[in-house]
Amino acid sequence: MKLPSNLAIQTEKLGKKYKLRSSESWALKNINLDIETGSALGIVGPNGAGKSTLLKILSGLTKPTTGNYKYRGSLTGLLEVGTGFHPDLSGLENIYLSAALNGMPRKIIRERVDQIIDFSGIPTEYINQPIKHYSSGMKVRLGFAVAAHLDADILIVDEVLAVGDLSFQEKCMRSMELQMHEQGRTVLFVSHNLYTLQKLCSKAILLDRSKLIQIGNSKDVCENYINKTLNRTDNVDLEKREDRNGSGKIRINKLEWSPQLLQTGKKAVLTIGYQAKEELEDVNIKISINGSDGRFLTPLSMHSTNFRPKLIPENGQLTVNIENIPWMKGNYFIDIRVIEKGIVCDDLRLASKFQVHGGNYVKDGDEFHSSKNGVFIPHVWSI
Amino acid sequence: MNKKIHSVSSSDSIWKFTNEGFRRTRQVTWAFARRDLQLRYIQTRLGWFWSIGQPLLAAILVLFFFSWIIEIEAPFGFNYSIYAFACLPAWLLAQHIIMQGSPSLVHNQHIISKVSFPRQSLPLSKALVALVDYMVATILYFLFRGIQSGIWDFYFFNFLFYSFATILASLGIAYWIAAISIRFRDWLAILPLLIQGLFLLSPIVYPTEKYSNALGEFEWILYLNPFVAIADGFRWTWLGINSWSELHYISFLMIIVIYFSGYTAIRYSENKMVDTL
Repeated sequence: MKLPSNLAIQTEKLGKKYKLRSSESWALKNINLDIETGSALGIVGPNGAGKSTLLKILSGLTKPTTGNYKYRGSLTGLLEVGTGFHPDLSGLENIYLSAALNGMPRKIIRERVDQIIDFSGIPTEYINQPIKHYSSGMKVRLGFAVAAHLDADILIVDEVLAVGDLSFQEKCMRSMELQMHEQGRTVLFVSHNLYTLQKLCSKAILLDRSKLIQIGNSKDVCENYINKTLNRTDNVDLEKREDRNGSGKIRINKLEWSPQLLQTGKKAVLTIGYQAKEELEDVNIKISINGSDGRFLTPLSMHSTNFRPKLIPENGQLTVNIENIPWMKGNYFIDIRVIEKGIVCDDLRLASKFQVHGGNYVKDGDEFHSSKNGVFIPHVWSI
Repeated sequence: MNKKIHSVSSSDSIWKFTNEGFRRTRQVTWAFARRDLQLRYIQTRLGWFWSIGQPLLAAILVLFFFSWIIEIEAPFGFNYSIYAFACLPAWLLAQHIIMQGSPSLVHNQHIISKVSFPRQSLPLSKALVALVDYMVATILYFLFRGIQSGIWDFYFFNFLFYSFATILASLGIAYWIAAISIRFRDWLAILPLLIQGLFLLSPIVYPTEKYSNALGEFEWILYLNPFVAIADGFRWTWLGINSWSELHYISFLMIIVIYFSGYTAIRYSENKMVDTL
């Protein structure tokens, strides 16, 4: 078996075909990829592009239909936090179980168990209690602590960093970065959070409709991905976008700003059009405004402004009024999600893009020049 | 850097053995077995007493039903209880492995769809757990036979051989049902019936000679059951009853056929498991 000495993973013509009842579909086609040892590779792409299929094949969960891949050293797929945890077992027993399932030899677990407990921050008097008595945050932290101490040469991480509290997430990210730099570990990372992905990964690949479209440095790839998705929305109606999640009980079909020219500090109205299967009660629409680097900047939500209509009609429009646009000059993206009684009905990432032209946030004030995106908040200076 | 290079290809055979695969099987099997032992008897009143209580209750049931109600008699003037209980530990072992091993993949599907490990580890871990009970039941029988009849001999290699045969046959069955039930859960629904049928069709609580009563010259069909060889093997080990005939070769052959075909089935389904679950 040959593998160039600087590579950790090499795939050759990797493909996966799923047989459905009547038809066949390729979830992944002809993927040729060289991943260098010690690098972090991000994987981006719309829903259904084949990202998770690629992860499943590489972590050995399913067999490829065509092609092959080689890897050097040990490989661990981290598709979930706390895999195998059993509620009736104690925290300590669960550490042993989960670490063993993820391939850590028992001898090494025994050496590291104190570090793991320490990292998780769970008080020692709790560690011998069944984890069914833990809070959900504690369970997640315990799972992460195990994950952070798996010393596989190659780590495949799927979006798991999206859970847990923020400070603990940061701690895990830092621990992962450290291991990459010091121990030459290779990381494959899938995330919808383009900001995190760019921070962790220097290189990225873009998958679209089961094919590999682009390999390059992660900033370019993320930009390309955003543009591609948006170009698609410009040409295709929002209504026709199929890369959405959720039950589909309601579909967002329009997102429109007026006026068309948006300026910092000026008035704006966002119109949201939707189509539902029936009249709905207790609906909440959550909008995230993200910067051009994918970083989350501003939340807009019905419930957080205490707007709770009893019933919304089958189809119609909602409007969001913004008195002073707080965003600085630049490009912004909208993620939108509709929730009915706690169930996600529609979830559209990168639903639309808008541009804010510069302007003064406060009348007669200056513009704050920066190449980055940002949000103004009302504030007062004094002397 | 001289770390080992692994390769995975779409054309890999299911018979591909690697050291890494073997190490993973061993490690995961132990982890699951340890989990099951730790979880065992949590929230029960009598706890580990049940390792002794279970075989005792089974023995009393067999004695009550087969000896007192339908009055089966043991051949060669043996006491019925000594005769019937000789195969009982092995049957309880087989029953445990099939009963727990068959649904083990479906029950742990949340783990299967997230972590990759050799799937046969799950039924295998159930067999390890069952061995603990088997040891207890065997010791109980050894004491019972000694006290009742004053015989204390113990043919270790015979015992090991037939215990191993029991594990192979019941693991083979568990592998088969586990592999098929990933797609067709129906098999889990009829599992209790299957086990009950196997118990009644195997010469565990009655002598093998009774077979000829039923089918005459088609008697050999009943020897397709691997537990015929196992039952007669244990009676030979414990009581010195020699009832071997040429038909027993069929039964021995079936042990091997069932184990290897079951192993093939679970390896074959392994690649499709995550897509189907």
